[in-house]
Amino acid sequence: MDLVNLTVNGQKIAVPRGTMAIEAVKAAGFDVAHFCYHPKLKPVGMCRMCLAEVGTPRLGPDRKPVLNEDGTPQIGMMPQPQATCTLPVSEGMVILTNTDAVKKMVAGMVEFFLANHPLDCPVCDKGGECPLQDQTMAFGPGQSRVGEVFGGDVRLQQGIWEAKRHWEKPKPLSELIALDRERCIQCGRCVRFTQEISLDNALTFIYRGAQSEIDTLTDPPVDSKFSGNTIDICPVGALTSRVFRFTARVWEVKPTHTVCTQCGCGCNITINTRLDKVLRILPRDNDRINECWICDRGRFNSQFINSAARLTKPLIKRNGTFEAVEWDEALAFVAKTLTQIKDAHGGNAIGGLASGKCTVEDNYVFQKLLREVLGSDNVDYRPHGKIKHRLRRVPDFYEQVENADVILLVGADPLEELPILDLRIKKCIAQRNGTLITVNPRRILLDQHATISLVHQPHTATAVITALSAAVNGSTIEGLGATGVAEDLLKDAAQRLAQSQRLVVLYGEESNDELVAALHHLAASRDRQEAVFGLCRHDGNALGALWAGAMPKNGGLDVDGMMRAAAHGSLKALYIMGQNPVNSYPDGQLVKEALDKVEFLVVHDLFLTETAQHADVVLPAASYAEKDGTVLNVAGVAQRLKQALPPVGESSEDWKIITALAYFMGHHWGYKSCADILRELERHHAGTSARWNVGTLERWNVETCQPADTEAETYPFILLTGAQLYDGSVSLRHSERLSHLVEAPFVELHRDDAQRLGIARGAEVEVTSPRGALRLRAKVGRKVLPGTVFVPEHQPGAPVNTILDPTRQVQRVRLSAGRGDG
Amino acid sequence: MSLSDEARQKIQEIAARYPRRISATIPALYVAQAEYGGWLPKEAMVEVAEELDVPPSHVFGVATFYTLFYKEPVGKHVVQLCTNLACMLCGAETLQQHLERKFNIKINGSIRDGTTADGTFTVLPVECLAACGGAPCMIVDTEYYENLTIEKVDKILTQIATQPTVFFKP
Repeated sequence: MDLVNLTVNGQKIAVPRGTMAIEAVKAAGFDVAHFCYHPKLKPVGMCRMCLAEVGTPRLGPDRKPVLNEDGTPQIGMMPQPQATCTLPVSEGMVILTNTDAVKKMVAGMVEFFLANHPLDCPVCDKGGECPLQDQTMAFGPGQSRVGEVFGGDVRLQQGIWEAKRHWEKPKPLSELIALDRERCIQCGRCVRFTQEISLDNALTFIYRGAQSEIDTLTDPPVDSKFSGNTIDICPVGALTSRVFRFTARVWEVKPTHTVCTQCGCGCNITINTRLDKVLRILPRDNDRINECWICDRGRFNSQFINSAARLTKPLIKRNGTFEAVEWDEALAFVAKTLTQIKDAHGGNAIGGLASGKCTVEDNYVFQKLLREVLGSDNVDYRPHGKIKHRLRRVPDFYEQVENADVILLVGADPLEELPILDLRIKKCIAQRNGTLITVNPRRILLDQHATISLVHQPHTATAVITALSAAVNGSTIEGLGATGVAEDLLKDAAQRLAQSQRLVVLYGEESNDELVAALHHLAASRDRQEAVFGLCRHDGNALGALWAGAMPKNGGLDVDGMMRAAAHGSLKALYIMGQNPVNSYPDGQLVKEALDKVEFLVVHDLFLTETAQHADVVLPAASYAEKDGTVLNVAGVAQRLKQALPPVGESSEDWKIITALAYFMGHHWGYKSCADILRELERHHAGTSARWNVGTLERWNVETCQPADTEAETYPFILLTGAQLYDGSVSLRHSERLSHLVEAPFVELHRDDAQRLGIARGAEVEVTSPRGALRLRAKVGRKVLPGTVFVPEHQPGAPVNTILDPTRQVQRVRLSAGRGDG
Repeated sequence: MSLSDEARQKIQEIAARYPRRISATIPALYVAQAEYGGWLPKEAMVEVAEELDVPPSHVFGVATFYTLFYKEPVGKHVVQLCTNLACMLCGAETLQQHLERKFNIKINGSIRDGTTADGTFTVLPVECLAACGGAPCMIVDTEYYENLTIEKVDKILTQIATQPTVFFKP
């Protein structure tokens, strides 16, 4: 590495060329006062706090250093103090940060900041973790010559020193963030975050001079899925969380370092609790995963953990109503009934749905219960069978994404599915000059930053990728007509792919085998096969569940098979851990039939979900904040969950429930902690490939069910579904402070279609399929192609799975404006 | 109310003159301000952002930074009266007091205080019009008037009151 030698306060240090002086000073072990500088943001030199006296070797007329008598180079000090955050280091530089002059300058700057900043630390939420407070104590003067210290002097109150700037406070910037303009020191960290990191430009400076303030013009206010990060990076108490503010002083909370499992990103977080209540969630620095950011869902969706609606006791359904019972009674009842069914119909009459929401340990003991105790191989963790995950560990996944020169994104919307991955892709584009090529059946927000967006007709992604491969290889492009992708765009994309040195391919988890094969073929033609990643969006620990073996082997039924068998009557009992198939299974009709038909249904969940309501026994489980365990993120990186608070009421960790149940059925496993289970699982995998055979699963039988032509007349629109970050999931339903972010159920259609059908923006539309109808609000735009409509999954009160028919590859619907005319 | 097709067309023409569309923000805002009767509500800023395909927050920042974009409804004609040193020495203060009495307004920088009851004029103080050689001076809409006296100001304003607003100077 190209190193530069310099001296900081007399201490010699070598740092890479291009390093800013502030980092060199920190590396030498000295404190630098600063507000606007942030390691993840571009330096701007706005706050003038990081001042230092700086000198460089003096050069003679021969461009060689002038030497002192003792042979050391003569240093020419710069005439003014320098802001070290914007000053790149150079060879032989001398930086002085602890001279009297520097101390006086920094103290003067602090005095200026405090000229307008209110001294309301005792009632400020930031108090105790406030850089301004800390730096005033460390570097500031004890007294100020401006502002309200002169408050008693009448003359001064009328003159220009009239007290401080006063604003109405606080001003809500959004439902989640409050702005105190008096405290704002205009360092611009929050504005720069939205301009450089989240690229959504949600915040800006308005007005100027003493009137400057931060504001937003987006609708809804601060339209960003990462807005909470501005609270963290605000170096004063100007931006505070409306969810957390005034609930506790920060030194009273108990921090627990754990991992967020709300999506597959695997963000490192700190959960702050007090008296066993979750107060707030903060990101924890990990440059290999989330850097220092988290999304708003991960940050603010915490109220559900302490929700009053949580299940606190086991429930047994008697005569159609649930009765709270003791654990012993519930477990004995479940053990007895499952044994009876096993004895009468054999183990394969029992099925189990594990879950990517639970830990590796939970899933391991779950499949062990099914396989060892109940003698059934029917176990699956996936919400439905279209999902394909491949287990692989890529510790530098996010770095690969960041440093890619071309990213090919196929059939996925990271902003809604894996928000932190979305930030890394944006970093690749904005800071590493990367190229993004998207291939999606509709436009996504990330397309704003994409170099090329190939928006194709539904179900033609494979044809697009095949054509891309052909173009990369220079052979003739075929089959592009049906995809609706323009050939020149495709050729442009192919050229960029052909020239790329560090290609990363990302595809959605519902991509079918042909598409994945085509992507590997495309990447292989470039010698970069290892850079093809499947994403998993549904659950935070999907890969962990796969690793734990919660998948059918030896001819066991997968989730689709179990649903069909249950509806058919051959599956007598279903054991569901942490899943809500009534909402999440694509065939809403089948799942209801299945749950009604099974003789015995056991559900583990936090809440009495739609699925739990069908159950015979509901066992109260613990949330991710209430348990230890291991989770695998989207890149297969294993991380530890740590218990931040004990499970509420009598609820319990899933692995404990299952271990106890096994004990009731005569199997004494003797696990004392998660570590015992993990050791056993690792022994189990030792010597073998940790991959479970996933390739042999039964696929949706698509060939036999192509839509007939007559259908296209009755149902002219193709229905696309997809994920939404703020959906109608159970945890969001029980976090009131986030409820405003969950949109009213909508259908998105193209402007031209809307005009033709006379559907206005925001009007009520009936979306009808052969299976049923939903009433939804119309969103009109250009994100979807004409002839297609988009309905997100899990919308509150309007589950799209009630109108889906997964036996068909192409979902068709018709639209009618207004109320229920069919 | 929203931008007319002609205004949108005009913004597109302006944007085409620059290598980057974001550079057209200020001229596009002038078009929108004329369209909205001399001031810029937030909807206008959003429309300009949509038309230029730039972030709304950027347009918001620019429109609020510059004082010649008005964020509140103004009178039919905007009078900018210089109250800086040179003009003050040459009698701007007398003109200010005269106009305040004549129209029963306050010339303190607030649009609401500086607008006449009939909505014909909004009088705002400005720091320097860069016409100190002709002090005291003022701008009405887009036209400069120099070497003012009370009589001259009265005459100019009486004449202009009935004339249409000039948003652009050709």
